[in-house]
Amino acid sequence: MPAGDRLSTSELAALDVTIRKAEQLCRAEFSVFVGQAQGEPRPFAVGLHAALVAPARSILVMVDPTARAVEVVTGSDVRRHLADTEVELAVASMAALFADGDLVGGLRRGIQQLAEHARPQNTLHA
Amino acid sequence: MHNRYVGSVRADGDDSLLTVTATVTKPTARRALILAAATLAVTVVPIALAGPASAEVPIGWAEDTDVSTGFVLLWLVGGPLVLFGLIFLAVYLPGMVRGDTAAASAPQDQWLGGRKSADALPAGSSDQAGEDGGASARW
Repeated sequence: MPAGDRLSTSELAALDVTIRKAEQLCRAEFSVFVGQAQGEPRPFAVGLHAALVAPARSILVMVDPTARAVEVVTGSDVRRHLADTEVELAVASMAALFADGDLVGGLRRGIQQLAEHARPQNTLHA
Repeated sequence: MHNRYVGSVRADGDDSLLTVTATVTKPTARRALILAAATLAVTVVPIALAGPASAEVPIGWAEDTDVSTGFVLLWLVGGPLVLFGLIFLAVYLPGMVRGDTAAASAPQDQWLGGRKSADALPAGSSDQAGEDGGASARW
């Protein structure tokens, strides 16, 4: 692991697998940023989300271990299936694991929960 | 030396055989006592009478000279400090020359998916202004 990286190679690989499975499940794009926010966490996370390739169908998870802040920003298409209350539940579970020092576990749990909630529901009748 | 024999008093009171063999005990004890006294004399007395050891400096050797306090401090304290300093420089000087700083060695930002850099972000933009969803938390 290069000096100064927050996540090891194996942890990055595990997270990558979790993200790929989540994207297949809910058909939204997941982006995860782990680092120090420049300024306030929420505006910084919103700025990161806006800079994504497809913000409307993207979910951004930003974790600042220094400021002990976690932000999730959802695009407009994602919000059709993923309510903010459901995002709050996922963020709360992530924060609980982060508080225990489990950064990778918290990210994986949060991404899985967001994907499950954002999964389009099968409708019998249009 | 006379012998005595172990026996018992017969019912009729005849104790002619009531003797005790003591040939083994008295001379042995006496010999042990003599031996202990001799050992004591050989070991304790010379120690008690001994004086401090002394000897002349052999011919050809340098005369014994007093060592100054400054000399002791210089070599026994200064020497190790100099060694510590040299080892410290050997370990950290290359890093200092390269310009490694605490900021440079701080954990780097990491991305999974999406952009690889948080630089040059569009200022205040969003897919739909004012409609960013999501949630926040602190721990």
